[in-house]
Amino acid sequence: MTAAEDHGRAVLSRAVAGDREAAGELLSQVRPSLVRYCRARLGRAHGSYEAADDVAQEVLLAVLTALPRYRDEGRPFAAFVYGVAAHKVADHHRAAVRRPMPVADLPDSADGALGPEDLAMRAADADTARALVDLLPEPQRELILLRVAAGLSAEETGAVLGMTAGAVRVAQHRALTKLRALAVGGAL
Amino acid sequence: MTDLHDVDGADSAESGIWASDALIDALGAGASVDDDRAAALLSALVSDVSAEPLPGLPDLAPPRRTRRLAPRTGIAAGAVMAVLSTGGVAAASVSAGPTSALFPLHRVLTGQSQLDGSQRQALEVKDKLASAAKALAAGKYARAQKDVQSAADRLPKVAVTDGHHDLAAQWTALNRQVKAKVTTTPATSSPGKVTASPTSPRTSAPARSTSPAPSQASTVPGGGTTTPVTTSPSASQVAGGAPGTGLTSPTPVTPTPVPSQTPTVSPSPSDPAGTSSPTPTPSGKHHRPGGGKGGSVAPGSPPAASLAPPSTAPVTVPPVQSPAASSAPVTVPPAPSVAPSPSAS
Repeated sequence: MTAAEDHGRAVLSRAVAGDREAAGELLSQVRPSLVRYCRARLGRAHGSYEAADDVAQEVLLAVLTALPRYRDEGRPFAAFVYGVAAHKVADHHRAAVRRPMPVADLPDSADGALGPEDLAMRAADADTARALVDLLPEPQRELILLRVAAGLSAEETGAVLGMTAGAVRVAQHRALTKLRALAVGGAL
Repeated sequence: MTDLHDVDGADSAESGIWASDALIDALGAGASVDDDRAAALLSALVSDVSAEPLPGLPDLAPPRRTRRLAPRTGIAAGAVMAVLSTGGVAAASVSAGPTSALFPLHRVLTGQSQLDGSQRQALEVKDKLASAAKALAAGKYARAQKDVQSAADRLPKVAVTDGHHDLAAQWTALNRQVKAKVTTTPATSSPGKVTASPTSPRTSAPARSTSPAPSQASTVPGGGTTTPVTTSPSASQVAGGAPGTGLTSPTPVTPTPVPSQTPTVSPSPSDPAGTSSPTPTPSGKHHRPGGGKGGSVAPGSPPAASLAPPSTAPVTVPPVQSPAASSAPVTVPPAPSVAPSPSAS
């Protein structure tokens, strides 16, 4: 077990014991990948990831609330977090009705980042990738998003999905091969 | 990037699996791929979801707090309502006397565990008056008289703050009723018999002590047969009032016929038979006028008290006096013992 893993376990133990500072550190570690996962799963709504970010916040709050009841059974903490996230995303899909979404005010100054065309191209590629992933079977889709969007390791992904790391690697190889075929074949 | 292509192009299945694993690891880390369409799309997806800033951390405060506000607010509102609704009762009970229905609450709020003497007497008087009223309604006049007498004994010990005035008023009214009933019923004692007046506990005082005229205007029914003899204003004032309370004694007393040999301070010492007109009292309301005959002894009925020796025998009045009775109803001077007569000494 590495020093980082030891530190992570210690933080987790203190967070479970009620240490709010440790809980904050734990959520800060989880949050970036969780937000990316939610955004990859839910996509943009009215051009914004705000709805996906709200779901990510709900997941974090649910994790925080459930922390006192968390029991470390040797599985990665990410498995617990993404297990909650899967339920929250499913809830969001069930409640997915068209609702008015707030739109941010237009910026007064020029944005130094990508221009509108580049942003549109990137967003279009992201939407295409999401559409391709949606064509995969459910286990493979979840696996690809956890591995690519959330950046989880094979072991962590296997813990979330209840698979071994080897099974994850085999499944992700098949999913990637299928995506290539779909992309080349012009499935979209 | 070339390594990924090399892995991707491996022939063996195992090498393909590892190559895919390496490619996906690279994509998850944010690497960009251009010549693999599928990998390029996934790379664009990762870049897109990572481009926008992350939302802030949620508030780490316990989320149950908002749910607890409602019941707490309800409890607080209920407590305020309870205080407001009971505040008036509590305020009224603080000043409640022993005869008030709020007195038990008064004792709780003020922490008073024991009754003081005056409060105890007030309760006793209240009970006696209630008992007398009940007995009166039941026709038990003797019992009513006894209770009224008992109340009269205790009434002077009741402080003004414990409802003395109210109790005195009740006593006066009740005593008047008792007297009225008693006079309309057959005599309970033989005429002329000297008995202790049930309403005047101090009638046992020696007749010679003084002859204070009560300041109370009450008289014995059938009065006029005796001459109320008043005493000095000071004596009358003291005798007529409950000591220390300022209460005018409600004892219905009529003036004691003063024997000629009684060394009283009667303003009319020259009238040994008591046939003279009543001596006006300072208060002017000691005696019943008697229809113009006031003060004169009924014919053939010399004042019983006047015949009584100036001894220590209590001079009382037969409570019942028929108009034709030969015995004169004699009232008893109230509490003469507390009105030392200058002449008595």
